[in-house]
Amino acid sequence: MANFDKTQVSRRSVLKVGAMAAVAAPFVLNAGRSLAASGDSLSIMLFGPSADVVNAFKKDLLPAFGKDTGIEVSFQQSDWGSGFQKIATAAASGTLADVVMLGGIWTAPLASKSALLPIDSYMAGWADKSNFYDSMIADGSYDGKNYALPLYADTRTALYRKDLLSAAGMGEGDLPSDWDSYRAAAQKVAASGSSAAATPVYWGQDRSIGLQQTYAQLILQAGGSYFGADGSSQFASDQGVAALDYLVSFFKDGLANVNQIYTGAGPNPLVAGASAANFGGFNTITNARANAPDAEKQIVAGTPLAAEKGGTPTTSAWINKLGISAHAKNPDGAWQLIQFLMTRDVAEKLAYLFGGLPARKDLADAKYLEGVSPGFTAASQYVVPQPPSPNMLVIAKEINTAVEKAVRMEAEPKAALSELDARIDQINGR
Amino acid sequence: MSASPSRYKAQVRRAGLILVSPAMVMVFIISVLPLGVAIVLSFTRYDLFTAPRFTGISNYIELFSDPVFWQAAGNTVTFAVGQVGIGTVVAIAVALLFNKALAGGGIMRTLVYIPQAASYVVVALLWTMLLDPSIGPITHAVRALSGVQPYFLTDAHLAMPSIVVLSLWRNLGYFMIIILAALKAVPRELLEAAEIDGARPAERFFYITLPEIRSAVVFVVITWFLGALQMFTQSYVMTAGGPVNATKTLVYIMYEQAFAALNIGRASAIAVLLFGAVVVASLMLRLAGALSRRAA
Repeated sequence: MANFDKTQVSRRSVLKVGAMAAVAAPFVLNAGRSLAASGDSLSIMLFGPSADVVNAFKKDLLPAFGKDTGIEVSFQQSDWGSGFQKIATAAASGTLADVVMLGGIWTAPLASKSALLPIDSYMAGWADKSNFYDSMIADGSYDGKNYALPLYADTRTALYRKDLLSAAGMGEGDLPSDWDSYRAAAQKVAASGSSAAATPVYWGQDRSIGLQQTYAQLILQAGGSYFGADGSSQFASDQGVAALDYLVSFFKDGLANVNQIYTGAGPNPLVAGASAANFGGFNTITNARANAPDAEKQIVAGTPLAAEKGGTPTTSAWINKLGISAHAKNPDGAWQLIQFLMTRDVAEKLAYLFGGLPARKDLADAKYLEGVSPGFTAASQYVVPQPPSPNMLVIAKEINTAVEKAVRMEAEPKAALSELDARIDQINGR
Repeated sequence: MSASPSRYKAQVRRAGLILVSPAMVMVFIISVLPLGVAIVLSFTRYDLFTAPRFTGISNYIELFSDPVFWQAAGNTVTFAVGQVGIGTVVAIAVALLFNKALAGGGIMRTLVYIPQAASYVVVALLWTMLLDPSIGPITHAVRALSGVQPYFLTDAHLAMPSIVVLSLWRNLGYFMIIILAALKAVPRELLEAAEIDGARPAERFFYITLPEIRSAVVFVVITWFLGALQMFTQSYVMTAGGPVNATKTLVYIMYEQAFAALNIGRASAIAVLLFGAVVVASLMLRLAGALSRRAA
């Protein structure tokens, strides 16, 4: 029994120590947090940065910013796949980094939850604003307020393989400018017997929302829009149906293949030469540089299409941005950091490292764009901002599924879009 | 001074309770409490940012009227039944093979078990490459043999069967080992007596081996099936739920509702329904196991 008593005493001691540690832990952790959240420190969170981007931030940009301002910035990173999940849960729990990178359609979903700080008051005195494309600045707004500034852009335009067009008897002067000429070019490629003859056009199908991104451009070119003046979904409008009919016709007529889905690994179909045309962005050049360097010089960017001959070229862009957390302890410092990252030299470096196009007009002649088809940057002037819907993440997937159903001939375009309208209105609580 | 027997028993009982209480508290915190929270949240509209608002059974009504929910439920059952149905038969067949004295049996057992050691993400990425329409060696082999270009992960009719096959490949080793262990415990004298009495191999399997390993098989079917009902990673990594929702499962749409739509109430309703389905499936499978034991 004596031993049993000793064991009891020993257990009590362990429990006491454990209890003391449990009581002390929050104070210790809080002390660390307080230090990190002090006025002279900030945090920034990026999504999907390459090793080069991480190095640039950690070894170059953030130390330089700290030297100028005396503000120490801690660096956080995550992957794109779970990015919105991480940003939403961090914002909800008040632990979001002070400055956060935002995906192309994240602004409205986060701003509508009051997770981001409106930056209009800061922007009012920001001299650099006029150097950015207006449409790209507008892409960071929601409900009449600005929440984010463009870091770099994935501006879409009509891309072609020069060699494959040439094999079909077309030169650079014959690049299509409207839907009919685009379709005619695809038919010529199909008849050419080249490597792209089986699938002349790759419409951006991937495992994400590539089809939605393509259809977004077509519906804009047709003069349509996602929502009516009353906020109701209007994909089944005449313009929406015309855009989908046009897209589906390529699949019906053997000018595109529903199973040509890019998985994200290796060269994409345009770079691989499996297709001769695509609505793509500058990441096609990045893809070529990584997977098939010889293909880069064959890729030419044309003007975004117009639905009718002589119509206005129209396109859209997926613009990654920087915003400030609504819970930022030092919003002035956060704005200083964003301003610093938007300066000409830094913006050029970041656009290059992220593999996108600059959002600044004065970077059209950026050094890293030398030798690249000028159509990539020229397309920026035709960008129409994304519709700022709080449910855009869900809606984009719904659009992708509806378009996929239509191109797979599982539903008529009009029926698929009517069903889509009903689903979107339900999502939007209408 | 020594304690009386009854006092000693009380002390032992109290000590026992004290010793298990940390584990019970952890189980309560990790399992019971989240389940309770999920049930409560399933009757609310909650977006993480504002306080939950009670909405009655509206989440359930909206789910039941959503065709994508039913499609996901159908996909989930198809995956679970397909994988466990085929997988159990294959696991028994492979275990029977390894139960015989084979040259290199140990190495082959290890090879069959190795995929179990890899995470689902790794396995899914590996099979995505193997089944890639351009560079996938399996695609090349099928095309060379049949002359037809297969699109394993992008054809709506092939995507789910492809995921079933890779999941089976990944899980086979674990369940095969369980059945193999049960086979090793089958009394040899029973099999030898049946052989002397003229029973053919098939008769020995169905009348002696199978009844003897019934408990292990029931365990395999229950645990494999319940795990399969929660399939997510393969769809997320390999097909993103496509094409046209063909590989979306209940857990997948639960994830979408929670972290893309920020509709925690609806996601919780899916979780509660899935929990109910798991409980019902578990009870039915256990009942089936008990009935077959009684019949034997």
